[in-house]
Amino acid sequence: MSIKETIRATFSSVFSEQVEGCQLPIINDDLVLLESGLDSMGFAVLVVELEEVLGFDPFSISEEAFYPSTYGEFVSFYEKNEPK
Amino acid sequence: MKKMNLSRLISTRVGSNTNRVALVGKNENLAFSDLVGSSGDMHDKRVVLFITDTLELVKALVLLDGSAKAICPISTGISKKELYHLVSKNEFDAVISDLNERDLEIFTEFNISVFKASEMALNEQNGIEPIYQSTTWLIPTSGTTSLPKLVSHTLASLGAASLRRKKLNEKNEIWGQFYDVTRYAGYQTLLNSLLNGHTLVTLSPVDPIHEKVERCAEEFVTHISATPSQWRKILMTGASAKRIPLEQIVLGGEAADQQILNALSSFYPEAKITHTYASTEAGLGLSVSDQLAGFPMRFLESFEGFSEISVHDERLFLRTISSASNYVDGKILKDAQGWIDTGDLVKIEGDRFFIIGRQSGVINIGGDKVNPENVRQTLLEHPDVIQVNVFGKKNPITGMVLAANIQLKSNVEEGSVKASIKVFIKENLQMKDRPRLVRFVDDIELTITGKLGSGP
Repeated sequence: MSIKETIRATFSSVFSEQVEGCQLPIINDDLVLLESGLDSMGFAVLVVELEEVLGFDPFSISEEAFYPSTYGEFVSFYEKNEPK
Repeated sequence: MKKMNLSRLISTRVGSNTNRVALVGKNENLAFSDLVGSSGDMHDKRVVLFITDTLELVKALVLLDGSAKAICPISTGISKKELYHLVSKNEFDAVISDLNERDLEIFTEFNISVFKASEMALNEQNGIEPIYQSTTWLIPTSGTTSLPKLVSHTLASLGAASLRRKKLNEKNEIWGQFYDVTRYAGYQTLLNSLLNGHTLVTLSPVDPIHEKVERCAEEFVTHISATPSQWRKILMTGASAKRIPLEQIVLGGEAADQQILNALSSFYPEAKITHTYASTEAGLGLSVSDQLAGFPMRFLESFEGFSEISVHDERLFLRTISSASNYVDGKILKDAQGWIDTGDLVKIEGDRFFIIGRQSGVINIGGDKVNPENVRQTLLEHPDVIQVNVFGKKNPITGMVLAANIQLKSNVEEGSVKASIKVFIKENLQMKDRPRLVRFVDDIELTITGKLGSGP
């Protein structure tokens, strides 16, 4: 699975685990993370789960502090910082 | 501040500038002149303020300070269990609210008289001049126990930091309110505005972050004080956050790391960025604006504030000139030389010292204190659980998240109890204490001393 596909699958499973009574939003690059229904703690869980699945956490690796607004920015930050 | 109630204090401090806007609500603004000059008639009563609308809440605070025996503002976002606990453990005489009767059943059950927030304003117009009495402000604190308890304050103790500024600024600062106004940090922002003639843009804690940020941009907010976790959320709104014309950024409640300080500085190159440390026990604040995480070691030799600082056995000690807040739960915190143990652990690196956590093991999750041992004990009460480890998992971008590794009894299948444990967590733990990252593990390793490790 590509990074993009892994993030999509993990996002869906974390969403159903963390959010009650709310439908999974349509996942596309323009989806605003904090308006997706996932709160900031849910977002933190997503980052931890992704570290487990992908084996890296770009936010800890990267020297620049980056705060993604949209789903698209989030995914490309992972792609950009994948350890070679 | 003898016989000086909040209303009179505001008038004295704001002087001839009472036409300045004090509070900006969603639909209404209040000038300082709208707030002062009247008082409520709750003499000798212990009054709960259970008010959703911040403007109404502030009006009630100004009306009742100096006339009621005690005022206890409680956030309407509190859980039923926590509210029941507070109401049943404390003797209240009245509640003022803008909610429906249905939401106030817990109060009527204890025969507490219910008053509408709007009725209070009517009483004020009757021109009743109440007898002055010093009012106790009761502040619910989440503390580290599983249920909230009340801490006694006075206007003088809550407003001490705000009253340090002697002269009113020519230009009024516009503050955005990111702390719940019924919490200690919320009172600091509120009183700083009321007592120093600044404008406070009120934001509801239930509003989504992008709405709060939009409002701050629209209202030209120049000053915001928030926790590093809240700042991370603000930055995640991207372009909207950039539109806030910030001149001053304050971070408190949690240690500010270098990542968030760097990100704020590149986002708001014009703003002054200050991070603070406050010890609940000593009630003192350290603050520094050099945009470097931690605090300079020179503070240990000569701090320009109200106290001396010292580090022994990796713990931070303070010695204050003021004798306020020496006791917590009746316990004397000062040693013979007057040093107060803050309970905070310190790491020294080069010419900086860093606050790295609590000696008690209490974890700071987004500004809320969580005692992992209490959470662990609660989870162990579930009939299918045999061992639990509760810890904080940190990430530079998201801050700290509460995690629990759970070992089930050998005859129990993970799939069959997952849902019941989820419900158990929700029913038995208040929001801040609920582990968000729950993992089921086969074995939880103990350390050499036989204790549970603090990590995963």
